[in-house]
Amino acid sequence: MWLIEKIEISGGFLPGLSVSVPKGLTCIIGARGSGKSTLAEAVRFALCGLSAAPKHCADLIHANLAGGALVTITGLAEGSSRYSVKRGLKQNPILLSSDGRAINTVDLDRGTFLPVDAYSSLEIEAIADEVLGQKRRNLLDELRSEQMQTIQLSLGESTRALEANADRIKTAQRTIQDLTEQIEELGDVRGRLSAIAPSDRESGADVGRLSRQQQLNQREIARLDSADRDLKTLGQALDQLQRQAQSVFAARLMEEQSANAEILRPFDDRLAGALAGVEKHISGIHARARDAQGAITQARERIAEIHTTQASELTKLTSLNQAASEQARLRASLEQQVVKLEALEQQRAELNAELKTLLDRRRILRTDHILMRDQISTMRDEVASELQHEAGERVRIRVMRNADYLAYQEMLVDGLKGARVRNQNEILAALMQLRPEQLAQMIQSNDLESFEELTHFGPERSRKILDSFRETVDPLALEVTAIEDRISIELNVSTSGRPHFKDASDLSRGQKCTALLPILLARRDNPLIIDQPEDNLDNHFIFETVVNAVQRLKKRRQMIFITHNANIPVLADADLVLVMNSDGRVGVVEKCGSVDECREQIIDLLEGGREAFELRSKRYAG
Amino acid sequence: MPADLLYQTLRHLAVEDPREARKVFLRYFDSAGSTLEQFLGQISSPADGRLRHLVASASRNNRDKERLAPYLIAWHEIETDEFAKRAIEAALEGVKTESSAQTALAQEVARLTTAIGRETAQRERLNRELEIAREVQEDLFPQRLPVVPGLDYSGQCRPAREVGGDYYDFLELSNGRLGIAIGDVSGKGVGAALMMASLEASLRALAPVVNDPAELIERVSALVYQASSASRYATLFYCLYDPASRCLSYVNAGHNPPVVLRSSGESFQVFRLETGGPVVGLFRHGYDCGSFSHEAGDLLVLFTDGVSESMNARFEEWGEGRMIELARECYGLPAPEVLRKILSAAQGFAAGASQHDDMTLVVVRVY
Repeated sequence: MWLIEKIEISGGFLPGLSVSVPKGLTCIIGARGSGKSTLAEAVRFALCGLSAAPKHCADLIHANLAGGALVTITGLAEGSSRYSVKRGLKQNPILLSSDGRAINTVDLDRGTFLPVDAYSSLEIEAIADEVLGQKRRNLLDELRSEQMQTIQLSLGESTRALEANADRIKTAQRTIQDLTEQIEELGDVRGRLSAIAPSDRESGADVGRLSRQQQLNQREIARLDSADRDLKTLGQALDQLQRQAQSVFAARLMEEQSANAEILRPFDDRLAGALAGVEKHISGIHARARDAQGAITQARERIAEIHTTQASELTKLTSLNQAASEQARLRASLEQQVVKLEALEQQRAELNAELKTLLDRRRILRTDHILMRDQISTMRDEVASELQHEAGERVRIRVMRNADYLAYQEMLVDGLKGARVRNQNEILAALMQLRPEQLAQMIQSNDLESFEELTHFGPERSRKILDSFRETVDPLALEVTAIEDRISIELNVSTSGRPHFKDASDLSRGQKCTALLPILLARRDNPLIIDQPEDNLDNHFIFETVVNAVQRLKKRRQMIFITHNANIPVLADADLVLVMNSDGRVGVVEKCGSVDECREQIIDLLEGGREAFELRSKRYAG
Repeated sequence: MPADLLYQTLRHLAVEDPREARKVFLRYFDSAGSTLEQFLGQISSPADGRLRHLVASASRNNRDKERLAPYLIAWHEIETDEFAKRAIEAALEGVKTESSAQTALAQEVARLTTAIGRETAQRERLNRELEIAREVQEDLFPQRLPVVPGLDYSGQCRPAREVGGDYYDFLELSNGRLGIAIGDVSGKGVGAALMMASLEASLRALAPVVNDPAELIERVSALVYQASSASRYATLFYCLYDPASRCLSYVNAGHNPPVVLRSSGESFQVFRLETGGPVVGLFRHGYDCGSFSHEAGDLLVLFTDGVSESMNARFEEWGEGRMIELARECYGLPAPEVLRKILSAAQGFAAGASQHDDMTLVVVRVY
C-alpha cells in the first residue's frame, strides 16, 4: 500500500492546483466542465503515462495539459520512503527520491512502481458491456499476474511442444500412408513369384555337352574332307606313275637301221613284257584307293546323319534354355522387389512404433495442457471468490468456464458443412455438449459408437456427421482448442424477495457502475481513482453496494472518487471533499475540506445531497 | 471403489481419455456402488465441471437419468461450466421432476452434499497453499542465535492468517561480528514467501564476502531485482554490529526505521536509524551506509509495520508511539522478555480483529 500525498499541476486547465490528499476517501465534486476529470486523469497521466490510457482520456490530457503544464505527484511508499513524479506532455517523467536524487532505472509506464488503478466512466462501462472478451478476465488475472505469467509461460511452451508433436505425427502418418500404398503391391508380387516354375538345371548341362559335340563334329567333317582330298591326290599320282611306266617300258633299245638291231630286240621284248605286270600293280593300288574313297563317302553319310540329329537337338535345347533364362531374370527382379517391399514394411512398422510413442507423448502433453488451462480458470475462481467476499451480496461475480465459445462453435459449424444434414441448430446444440478433446478423440479413432451414444443422432446421421468432421477437421488442433472463460458480473436488481441477477451489460449506466465498483474497490491496495458516470443511481443500490464497500475498504487503500451522488461522500464519510469550479477558461479548487465543511456545496451540486445528510444524522443519532 | 479413489482416477482420466473415463464411470455406476452419492457430492466445486459433465452425459436411458436427477438438479443451479451446463440440461430434459416427498428429500440431500463438497474443496485448496507458504517461511527464520559478547538479542515473527512476507535473520560473521536483517516483502502468499527466500539466500551468500553494508545491499537488491517479478519488492534493514567497537553500521532500504532507546538519567533519548535508500528489488539503486555508536544499556528495536500498524476492530492503529512507550517501560528487561511484551501488547490491542499482517520484531540489548 502506498499513498498519494500531494497533487500539483502547473499550467494547462488547472494552473496552480495544489492539493494534499489524505489516506482514505477523497471525493471530487463540481459542475460539468469544472476540471474534475482532468484532475483525475492528470494523476493517472503523471504516474502511468499515456500509453495505457484509453483514447478519450489521452485526448483530455492533450487538450488540458498543453502548453508545458507539469503534473507533480508526491507519494509515500511502503516503509515511509517518499517519492515524487513530475511529468508533462512530450517529456520523459522524472522520478525523485525524498533526498532529491533522480531515479532513472524505473519505467513508470510499466505500472509496477507506484501503481495506480484509474477508471474513467467510459472504461467502467466498457468493462460492463464486454460480456465476452479479455477486459473482465483482466480484472481477475491482474490480481494473480505472477501466477498467470508463470502459467502462460508454461502454456506457451506446451503449445509449442504440442505443435511440434502434431507436425511429427502428421509427417509420420503421411509417410505411413505412402508406405502402405507401396506395400499394397507386396501380395501381388509374391503371387507372381510363386507362379513361376523352378528352372530346369539339366538342360543347361545338355546344351553345354551338345555344343561341345558340335565343335567335334565339325572337326570330324574336316578330317573326312582331308582324307578324301589325300586319296584324290594319290589317284592322280598313280595315273602319272602309270603314264611314266608306259613310256619307260615302251622305250626301244634297238635302232632299226642299225646292224645291231637284232641283238637288242630281245631286250626290247623283255622290257615290253614287264609293262603288263607293272600296270597290274598300279591298277591294284588304284582299286584300293577307290575302296578307301568309298569308305570315306560311307563314313560321311553316316556321320552327317548323326550330326543332323545332334544339331537339331542343340537348336531345340538352345531355344528352350533361352526361355528359361528370361524367366529367371523375371524371378530375380520379383525377388528383388519383394526384398524392397519387405524393407518398406519394416520401415512402416518402425514408423508405427514411433507414431505410437508420439501419440502417447501427445496424450501426456495434451492432458497437461488442458489441466494448465483449467488451472487458470481455477485461479480465476479463487480471485472471483475473494472479490465476491469483499463485494457483498448485491453483486455476483462468477467464472463461467468455457462460456466464451463462439469461435469453437464456428469451427463446429464449418465442420458440419460437408455433412449435408438438416436441423443444423439442433445438431449444433448436441455437439456443444461435447468437449473439444472428446470430439477430437471420436474423430481420431472414428468412434461412431460413442458418437452416436453421446449425440443420439442415429446411425445414419452420425456416420454422415462424423465423416464430415473427419474430412474437414484436424483433430490434433481441435483437441487443444482453447475456449476461454466468461466472467459473469451481475447485479441483484430485485429490491425485495427472490434475488434477480442481471448481467452488467444489461444494466443502466448507473447500475453498471454500481455493479462494478465493489469489484474494482476490492481488487488491490494501491490508490484507486474512479470517475463515476453522471447517471441517476438508485440510492438503494448505491448504499448497499458502493457505500458499504467504500467504507470498509478505504482503510485498506486510498480512493479518489469523482462522484455525482451525495451518498458516497456523506455516508462513506469522505476524508476530504474537493469542490471544483471553472469559469470556462481554467478550473480551480473552489473549496476543500471535510464533508461538513463542504455541506453546502454537496447539497447544491450532488443528487440526493440533503437526504444523504439527513440519513447520516439519523444514523449518528441512532 | 471408494469415492475418493474414483474421484482421483476420473479427474485425470476425464482429460486424458474421455471415452475411457466414461466407461470407468459407467462400470462404477452399474455396480450400484454404495459410495455413488458420496462421489456425486464430492464433485461439486467449480473445478470439477469436467466430472459433472461426464456424469451428466453418461446417462443412457431414463432410469439412469432419474437416478442422477437429484444431483443434476442441485448442480444445475450452480453450474459454471458451459459444457457441463449443456449436458445437465440435456439430461434433465424430459425427466420427471415433479416432487414427491421422496424426490424432495433426495434433492435436499443432493443439494446439501453438493454444498458441503464445494466448501470442503475450497478449504482444502486454501489450506494447501497456506501450508506451503508457511513452511517456506518458517524454514527461513534463523534456527539458532550466534553468541555475541555484550549483546542480548531475540527475534520472532508471528505470521498473519494469510501468509505474508516478513523476514528476519541473524548472520554470524568474521571477527565475532553479527549481521541483523529485517524486512517485509510486498504482497502475500507463496509468491511473497519465494521472494523472501531469494532475499535471504542473496544476503546469506554475500554478507560474509562483502564488508560494506551499502555495497552489500546494493548487490542484494540487484540480485533480487533479477530474480523476482517486476512488481515485487521488499523493504529491508540490514546492520552489522561489531562487539569490539560497539559500533553499528547499517543500511535502511525503505524499511520502518528501527528505534534505539537510550536512557540518560531521568529521560530517554530516541534515535531512528533512517540512512539508506529505496526498497530492494524494484530497480537498481545506490545506498548510503549509516553508522551508530552504541552505549551500554541501549535498546534497539527493529519491527515490521505489522507490529506498529496493528489494528483493532475499529481500524485504529496501535502506532509506533505506543510501541516506543512500551519499550521504555520494559527498559532493562532481558531482550526475549521485551520482545514478548511488545508482541502481546500489539496483539492485545488488535484483540478481536483478525491479524491483518505478519508481525515481526527483533529486540537487541547492549550491555
